[in-house]
Amino acid sequence: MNVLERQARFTLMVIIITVCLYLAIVACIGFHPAAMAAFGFTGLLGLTGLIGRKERKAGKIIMDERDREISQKASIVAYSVFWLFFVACLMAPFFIYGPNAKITIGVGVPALFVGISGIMVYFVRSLVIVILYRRDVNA
Amino acid sequence: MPETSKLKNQIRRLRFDHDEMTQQELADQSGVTRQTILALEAGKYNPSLELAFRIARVFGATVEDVFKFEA
Repeated sequence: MNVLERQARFTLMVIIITVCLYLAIVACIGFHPAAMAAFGFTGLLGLTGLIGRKERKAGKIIMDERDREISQKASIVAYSVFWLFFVACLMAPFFIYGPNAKITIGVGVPALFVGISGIMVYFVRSLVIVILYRRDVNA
Repeated sequence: MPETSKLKNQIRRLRFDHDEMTQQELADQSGVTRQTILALEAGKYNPSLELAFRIARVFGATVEDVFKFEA
């Protein structure tokens, strides 16, 4: 398995566990701000840089042209999904409340949006990477 | 409207003809990963021009000997 695919699988695993943790905490205590502590688990994503360290030390090729192509395609899909999410979030109040409405949103909402978007981009990019690699193997 | 083109290759046959070279050996000499060689042989990936030339050079052949373009 390529380093990029291993990194993508690890990222997917961390994000899925994070979401499951959050839902488990919500099931216990409801939608309490303390439930957001589950997202601290995404800090493990910082360890993806350790994947492929052995190959790097052995002087093996970590990423070749095919890996770069798959990575680029995955990034394009991920940021396209982010853009759709971004536009949907900004336009939803317009359609819900109408063009002349004025609403107040908490300071935490934009921060929450940034967090969710970041996780979504990582998730979609990793998912596309795994799908593109598996499609080549299973064909 | 042009028909769909397909790039076929003789990499697997050429590997066996060259002292049963392994995919890893070919990958190391071509500067790519073994998975890329696997994808090339399965017809799931079209190499860049540079990679095509590098692979041909490993076999001491021309690009046309290694890759065939079928319109």
